[in-house]
Amino acid sequence: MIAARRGTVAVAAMLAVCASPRLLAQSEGAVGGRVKDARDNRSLSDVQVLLDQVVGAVTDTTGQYRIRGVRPGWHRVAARLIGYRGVVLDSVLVRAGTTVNADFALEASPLELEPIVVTAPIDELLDPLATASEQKITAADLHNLPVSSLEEAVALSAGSVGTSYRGGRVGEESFILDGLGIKNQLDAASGGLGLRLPPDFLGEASLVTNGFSARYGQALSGLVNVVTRDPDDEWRGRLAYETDRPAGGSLDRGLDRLSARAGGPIAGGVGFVAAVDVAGRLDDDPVNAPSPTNQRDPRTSTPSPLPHNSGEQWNGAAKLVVPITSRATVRVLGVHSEDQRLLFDPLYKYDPAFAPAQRLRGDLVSGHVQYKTDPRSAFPVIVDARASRFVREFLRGQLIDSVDYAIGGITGSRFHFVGEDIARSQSTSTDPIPGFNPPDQSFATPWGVPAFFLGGASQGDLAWNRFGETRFQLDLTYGGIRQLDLYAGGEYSSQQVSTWQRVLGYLPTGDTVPPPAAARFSPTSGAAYLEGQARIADIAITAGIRYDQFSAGTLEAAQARGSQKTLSPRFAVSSVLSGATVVVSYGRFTQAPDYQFLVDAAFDDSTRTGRFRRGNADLGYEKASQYELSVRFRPREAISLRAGVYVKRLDGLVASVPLGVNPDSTIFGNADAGSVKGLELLAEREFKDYFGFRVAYTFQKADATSTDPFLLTRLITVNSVGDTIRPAKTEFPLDFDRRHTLTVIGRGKVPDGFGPRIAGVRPVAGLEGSVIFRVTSGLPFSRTDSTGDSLVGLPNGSRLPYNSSLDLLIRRALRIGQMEGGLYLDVRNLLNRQNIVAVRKDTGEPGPDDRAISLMAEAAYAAHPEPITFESPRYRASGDLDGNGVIEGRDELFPLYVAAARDVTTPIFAYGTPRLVRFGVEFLF
Amino acid sequence: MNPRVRPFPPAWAPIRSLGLIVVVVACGHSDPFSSPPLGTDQPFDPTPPVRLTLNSLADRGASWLADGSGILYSAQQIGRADHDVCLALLPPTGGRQLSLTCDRSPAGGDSVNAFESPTVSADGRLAFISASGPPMAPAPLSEAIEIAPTVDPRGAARVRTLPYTIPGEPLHNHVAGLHWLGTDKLAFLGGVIGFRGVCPGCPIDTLFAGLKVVTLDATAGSSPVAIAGTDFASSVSAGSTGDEIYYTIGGDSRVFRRTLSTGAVTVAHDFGALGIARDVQVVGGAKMTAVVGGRVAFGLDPVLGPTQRDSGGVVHVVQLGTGADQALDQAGLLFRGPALSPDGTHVVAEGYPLFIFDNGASADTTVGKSGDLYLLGAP
Repeated sequence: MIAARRGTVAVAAMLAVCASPRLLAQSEGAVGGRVKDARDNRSLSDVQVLLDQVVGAVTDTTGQYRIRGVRPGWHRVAARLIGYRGVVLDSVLVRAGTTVNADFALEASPLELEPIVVTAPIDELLDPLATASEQKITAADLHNLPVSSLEEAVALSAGSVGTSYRGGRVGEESFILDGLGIKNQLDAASGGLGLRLPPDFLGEASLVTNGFSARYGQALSGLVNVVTRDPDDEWRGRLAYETDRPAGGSLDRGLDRLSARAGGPIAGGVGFVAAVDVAGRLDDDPVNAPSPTNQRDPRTSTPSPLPHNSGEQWNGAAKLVVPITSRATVRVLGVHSEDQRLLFDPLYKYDPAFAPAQRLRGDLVSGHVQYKTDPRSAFPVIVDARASRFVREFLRGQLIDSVDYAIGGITGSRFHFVGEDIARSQSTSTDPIPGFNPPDQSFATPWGVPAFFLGGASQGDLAWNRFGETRFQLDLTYGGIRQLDLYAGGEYSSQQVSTWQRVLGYLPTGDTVPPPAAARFSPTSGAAYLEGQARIADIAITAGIRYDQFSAGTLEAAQARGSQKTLSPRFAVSSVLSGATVVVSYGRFTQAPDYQFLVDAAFDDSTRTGRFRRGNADLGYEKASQYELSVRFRPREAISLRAGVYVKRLDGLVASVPLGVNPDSTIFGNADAGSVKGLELLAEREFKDYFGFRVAYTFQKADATSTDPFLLTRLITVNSVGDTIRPAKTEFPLDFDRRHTLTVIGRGKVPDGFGPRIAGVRPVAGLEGSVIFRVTSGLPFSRTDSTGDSLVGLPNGSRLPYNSSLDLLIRRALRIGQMEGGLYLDVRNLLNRQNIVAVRKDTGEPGPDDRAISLMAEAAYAAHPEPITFESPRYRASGDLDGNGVIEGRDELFPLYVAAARDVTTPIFAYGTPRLVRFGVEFLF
Repeated sequence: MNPRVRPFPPAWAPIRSLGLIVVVVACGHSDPFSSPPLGTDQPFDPTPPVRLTLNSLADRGASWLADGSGILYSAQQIGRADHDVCLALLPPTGGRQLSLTCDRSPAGGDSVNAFESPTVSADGRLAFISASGPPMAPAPLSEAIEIAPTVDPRGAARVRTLPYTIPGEPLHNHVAGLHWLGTDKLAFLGGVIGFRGVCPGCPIDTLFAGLKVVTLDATAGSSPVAIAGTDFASSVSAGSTGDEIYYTIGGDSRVFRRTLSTGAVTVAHDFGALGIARDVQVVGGAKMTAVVGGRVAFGLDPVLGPTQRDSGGVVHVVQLGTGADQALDQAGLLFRGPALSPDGTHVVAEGYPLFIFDNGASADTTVGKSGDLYLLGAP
């Protein structure tokens, strides 16, 4: 008989047989347990344990076994020994980075009988010694919840604020794809990874915020661990299309999305799976901003969608799995992503064609060879060798041609930018960039007056960068020592960084226009780790150390002192106390700085030109030390509770360090420090008996001396007469210091056969639904005076209001012939709550006050008090109060300047997403 | 083996779902807001004479697009600190400018830049005279004849820079009155420019002394050719073919027609006692307009030589076949630079107001310095 372990006794038993799973390769899981004689509980040795009908392990003299390197997903695990009746566990769900406990009790049988097949599911909380704070996202979650990307799903995890985890800056996390680290090391703090996995290609993902193995580095705040799906054992696929067109009106944001996946065996055990995800939206960054009040503002009658705000994403992935021998498998993975979008700019509201656009492209090819020794080997080892090539390219500037849409927001062709070739060649020419012209004050506004709005040409910004990385990674897993598992390995990566940036490209560089910021260098980095886990009765001890090294590889060798090196110890103790799993962990984490901080950065704002930060090739590692205590237990069969508290100390974060008295003379340095303290609570009821839920609450307090490497120290106004001081080097709330986050996820299903039958169909029966309710406290921001140069109050001393949203997904299965499928309705922000996500620092509100508007209008009128005649494109009859064909004098001109000022400062992106609706249809084959 | 239980129960409304797909593919997405139409093709006041522009600075050098769909002209901008003379395009009936092009160079904000004498060929190419110089300078520092493939001057290329010399001719440091001769040649007045005060303490005025009618192939670097017998020319126009020009001479009431290939010259029309003829323009070889009489004087400048000072006159339209002459006199206005529409039904001209100063003891009139464009019906 199978021992179906539940409760305290089972947990304690599992402690004895289960190794900490965090040491496993994060892309794979394991199955372990003990096999005994059902009659006298005697441990059985030499029992063959089969995984999907292949011998995966043989029990040792204590009856224990371990099958490592198991791909995530459902598996069939069987135990077989001559003289005993075999037992098959039919539904064993293995998840990446975890060990599933599967104990067997075999009955002696002199006859050869069919094995007993047990379909009872393994308890998902079978991993009491997992030291990592890990939250899983499965492909089923993406399917069943109102989320449409992996990023959205990960953001549901406790401790995440968008793509910031545990108060960290954006980019302090690392992305692990099938066990291989991938990171945009160039500008992770401000740019995306550049790779997006089609959701259909996802096997399983998790967010790990602490205690991740010494195998992994390059992250301070967490790991996003993604395991792609392997080919199915028969050809299967999915085809889905979703849109918001049928919703009409403001709900129609021009969405079209097509997803497809197919995979299965080819021949000789070789399998192939591929997926594509193509999406386009005419308004790719929808906002819930209120309509303007001025009827002459065209947005008043059509508040959405925004023009020149479309985006399209093309994501594709393919994997080939080739078993070389019964013990060695080769996997080749390719991922290609393109993300290009138009960026609505209020300054170009009436001449949107000149607003900027950007394109981000990422390509990854990776190979993985895995070798496992025979399970009966005296030297059981798994060797994983991986290699990858990752290239990411980013462009931002003015498009050469207007966008030609093919379907909705999808163009089907790549954007091309003015001066693109010059950027790629990293030209240092001081000449203007051909094709750029100086912008003019727009002629197309309803207000006519030459103020605020631009037209005729772009602002002349052009940025390009390219990051390439070749990575080799070798991991060894050794399980030959009883009660001790050893893990060792290392990695080496060679990177190529090229950047180029130019502002005011229509002007020659000179006194007020900085020269192109160009850099090309080839950093290298390496790492090695050793980790072991020992079990002593109910206590598991994990200890590891990781060595990291990187060299900036700048061409100007005199600038860099050499390689940067760091050691990162990781340590965890876990045990079971009164039925609860308790984990105490400490980890030191480091990451190399974004390479963008190694090079000069030029940027511009509306009031000053030529702002510049000097790059620093001597930057060292950014570091974090985290202490955590977590408790997990299961008060009832289907309910699990988790609680964790942590303290994380950040040090050496990159900041702008003043070089002199000029506020624009700064250099990047490891000058920032901070700390994050937090509490995470998670209660979950598994989906069972037609419903399930998960409630996650996070409290965190994140402080640092600065939150943005580009942020300059501002003066603080200390009294009513305007005296100012420099703030002390103390810690203030980080930009991502969201104190309270509550996420409630509920799922339900109407039983089959429920409800009235209409025209032969029960429309309600089988209906599935899920909701996500989120309440978050506001992020901090700094108040400034009207000039923006002096802070009013302490840095990040003010807070945005609370945000909340309710998302809903309703799905109805259908069958057409032999084809299964479904229809679904996905609604985000169902209640259309107008969440404020940003405010002006001078007013603390989304928009400016009347005084600010008046000051803007006065300045603009003073610059252009000239009359506007009838034939001028700027003439607006409504402004010609006396009807003499000329708009002249303050009485006629000033109100137009006021209207223009109010228009250009209308808060748009200060508001979160509105209610969004999408209808989808999918087919499985 | 994958023991996952598929979550899809039996059939439900497949036909309805297919219908949804059809609907989805068939309909389009909502459009974002766009700038509302702000233009008009109606003048501020349609009462004749139709005043097309109300600019308090100079509007001049009007010409029609080849298909009559617009009027190009040079418009000095009061709203620009550098007082650039920009190139504007009006609807043929007036109204709001369809385009206004000023600086073509990012560095143009600190200099005066001008588009003058725009003219469009039958195949749509734009020729104009470009000039630029520092603010407050009496004369431009650089000047050139440029041609653009469309009416957008930003794509123009220089075909002739100034000054230039023609063998046997004095140096030409200024050109005016640009016209296309067919589609591959330009005709204009070449001459010299000078600056004079008409009285002690009066503002400096610009004087142009036309020396010759000049032709130029519309290719970069081509050499200008002076047309013999056109000394002291005051205006030039293309004829019915690229081989024919019409021109006037300073102080003369006649309009001459010349065949370029043969050099044959005839008098196309003589305004006789009506006064000095200038600013001639011919459409299709059948209809001609010119400015006649008014405030114009031909005299000898001590430096420039024979020079014609012109403050405007009366627009005349002449049927060349019959010699029938119609004066389009408008009280209180003097005109310069008339241009017949391609269909010959309208004339656009610069109108300069006459101001009457009456101090009680005596009254005098003067002509405004800044003209606006007027649209006149051509009988």
